[in-house]
Amino acid sequence: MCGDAIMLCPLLGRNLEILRERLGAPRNADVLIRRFRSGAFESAVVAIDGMVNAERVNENILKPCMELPEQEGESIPPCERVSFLMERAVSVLPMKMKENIDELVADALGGQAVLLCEGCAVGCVMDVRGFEKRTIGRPEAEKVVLGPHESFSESIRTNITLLRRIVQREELTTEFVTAGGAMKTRCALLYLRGTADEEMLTRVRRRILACSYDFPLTTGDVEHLVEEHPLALIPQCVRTERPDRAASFLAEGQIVILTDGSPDALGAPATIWHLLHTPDDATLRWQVGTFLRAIRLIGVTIHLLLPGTYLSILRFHPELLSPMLLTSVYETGSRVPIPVYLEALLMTLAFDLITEAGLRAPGALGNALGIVSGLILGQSAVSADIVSPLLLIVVAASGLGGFCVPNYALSVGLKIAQLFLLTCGALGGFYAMGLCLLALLCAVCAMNSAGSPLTAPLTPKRPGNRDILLRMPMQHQKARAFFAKKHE
Amino acid sequence: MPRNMNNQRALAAWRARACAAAVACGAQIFCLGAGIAVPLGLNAAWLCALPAVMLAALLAARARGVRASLGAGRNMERLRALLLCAVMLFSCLLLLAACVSLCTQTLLSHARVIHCAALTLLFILLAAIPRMEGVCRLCFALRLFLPAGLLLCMLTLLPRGAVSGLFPLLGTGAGPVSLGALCMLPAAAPALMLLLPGGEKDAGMLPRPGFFALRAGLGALCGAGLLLLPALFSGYEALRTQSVWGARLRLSAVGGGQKPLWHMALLLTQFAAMTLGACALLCAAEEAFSLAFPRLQRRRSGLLILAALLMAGLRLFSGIGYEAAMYAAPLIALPVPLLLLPAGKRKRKAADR
Repeated sequence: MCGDAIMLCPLLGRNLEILRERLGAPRNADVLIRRFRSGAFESAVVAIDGMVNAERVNENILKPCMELPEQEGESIPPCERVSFLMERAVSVLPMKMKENIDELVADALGGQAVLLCEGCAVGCVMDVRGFEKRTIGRPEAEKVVLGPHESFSESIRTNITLLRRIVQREELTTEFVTAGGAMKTRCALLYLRGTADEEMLTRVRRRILACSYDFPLTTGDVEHLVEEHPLALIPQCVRTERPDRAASFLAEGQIVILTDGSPDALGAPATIWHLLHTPDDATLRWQVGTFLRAIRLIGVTIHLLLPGTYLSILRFHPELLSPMLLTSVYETGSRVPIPVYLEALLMTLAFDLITEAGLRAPGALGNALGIVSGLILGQSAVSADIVSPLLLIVVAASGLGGFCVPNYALSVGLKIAQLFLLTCGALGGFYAMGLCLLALLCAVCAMNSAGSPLTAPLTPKRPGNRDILLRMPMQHQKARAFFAKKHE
Repeated sequence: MPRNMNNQRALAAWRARACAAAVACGAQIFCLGAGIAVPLGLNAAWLCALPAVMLAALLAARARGVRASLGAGRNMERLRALLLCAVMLFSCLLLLAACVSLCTQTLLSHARVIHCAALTLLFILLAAIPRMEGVCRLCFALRLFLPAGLLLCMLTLLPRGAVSGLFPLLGTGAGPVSLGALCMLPAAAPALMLLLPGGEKDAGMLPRPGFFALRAGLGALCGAGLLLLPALFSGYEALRTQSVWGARLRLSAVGGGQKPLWHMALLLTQFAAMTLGACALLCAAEEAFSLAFPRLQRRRSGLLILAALLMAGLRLFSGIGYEAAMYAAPLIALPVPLLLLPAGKRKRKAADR
């Protein structure tokens, strides 16, 4: 209906008035509205300054339309004028016809140009995005010795292109979904048609579309939408900033979710073993890959259990130590004025503080921080009898184990679990630690990721690719992962 | 979802449940065996456990035939669900009592019994929050580690010439061994958890009776195998004088002083099996309770009620001694015939009337 703020009407002037009102023009100086004569009728282009490629708008839209002869389009019915221009004048490839003003405004804000014609209640949205974006760089958190060195960037289109360069298959499908309330964020779901499970896809899509938050979403926010256990300490999806790794997710039957404005991709479903994989496992020999995964598992175990074990032995089970070691421990410990639990807690927190400060400190200062804190503070603390040397070694070893975890979110979750186990060790020794571990393991085993068990294929047993737990030779990797629709 | 994938997932879920039942049976047989069979049969305690092993396998196989009829809205079926809940809860109480007994004898010898009981129950409750799925999957993951760990620790700790402790094979005689075997039969009750219908993903193909019988039987056999330890480790006269249940659970390992790490590993593996079994039984009790009272299912009120009952039981037995729980074990056998009666026969009986 003419004057209705939801749909376009045939009057060009009225449409432009509505769009000016919605976008805040002329006060909003970013809004560009250009009226021009295109043959026998009037047209207009609406765009946001800086978001569109001005040269493409001039050369491919304005110039060809304005150069049409005066009588051109006279006999065309008014409702078909936009289509006429798209066929005869405009030379832009991605374009869509829309009549909903909300959608047109959202597209204009996203960097697309909107073409309107007098007498036509349909507009054309043309992809002429030309905003500044970061070039493809090197991965920061997932560096490899051998292998590709490209990483995702903040532009969703660039990221999709990076994936399509690797996965050149006709089944690769890109679905755009818009998440959010008033402030919408564009997400892309990529999957291999026929390989990804449809039920899983529906579940993920539904969860993203149900989002109504009013702030720009990042990959982390989308992850919280997709995951099934928001209270859990560990993530249930795998994030990567590497296109090659994301491509391997697609081949396994996972769905890759890209978020506009975030330089990483999300793979779902995932297992807890995926969180311990690194790209080096695939680029190096299978024996090396298997060995490195075993090292990481040992690192996780040490990180979780070592401080609590130390405390349990000292407080409840000293008979496990040899008399010589026990004597040495008690000698050094007797000079420390604070209880051993507080000592362990303080040292663990200090280690975490140093790690966090090292991440936030700029550049060279971050490197110096490690040397200062590790050598000087640690040595000084031991000399001043604030901490015992053995505890320092325990905390350092535990910290090193934590650094073996390639997934940052998982390592922080494990740190929190470590504190629980430390407290249980102080309260009830191995017994309380064992009970706490039982509760944690039951919780982890019960978790699902987009409908698939997090701890599979170890438990429950699932058929599929023999590359999830250990890195097997290529000739043994005959099937896709268990969550793919087809296991061939 | 393709039918074969659905069946695969159902099979995996049932396999995990069967492992949970196996762990619970094995732990229960060992705990009751150390408490009842060892004083009666001494070095023949493992013989006393064999009928319970066979009964566990039979119950697991039989459970397949009567599963679907529990809690189907009728009063009789709700009563059966409640009885199953009671059996599971009492079995859980037995395992927790054994756990606390062993803990106060070994790892936390200076702690008060009630504190130990509260700590154990708190964590078992936390482990039961993710429902049956979590503990079943964990049992499946540890299905090889637990028996292998126990076997490794046993073999490492065994003194030389230990095999002579097995003789005479009948121990104190056929009479006491038979009595011990009879008293041990309630230890097979955890196999009844397979009566429960399972979750949505278990709704695919149902495995054959032999599937459950094999797994429950093997788990129970592991528990019976552990009862060889009292014969192999120390003079059985010394065990007869151990008046506290926990001390007999500790197996009076002679090698404990010389190999403290292995002794600790054996203890921790024992605790792992017992707590896993207790958690599985608590989850099973909650499921049975939910079948009887579906309205309480959503808010997990059933779990809290059962935990409160367990705490009350532990508190009661901490006052009168945990051995009282052990001697009350035969009461589990009372509702078993009613639980195993298939729905078909009862419908025919109702029709005949």
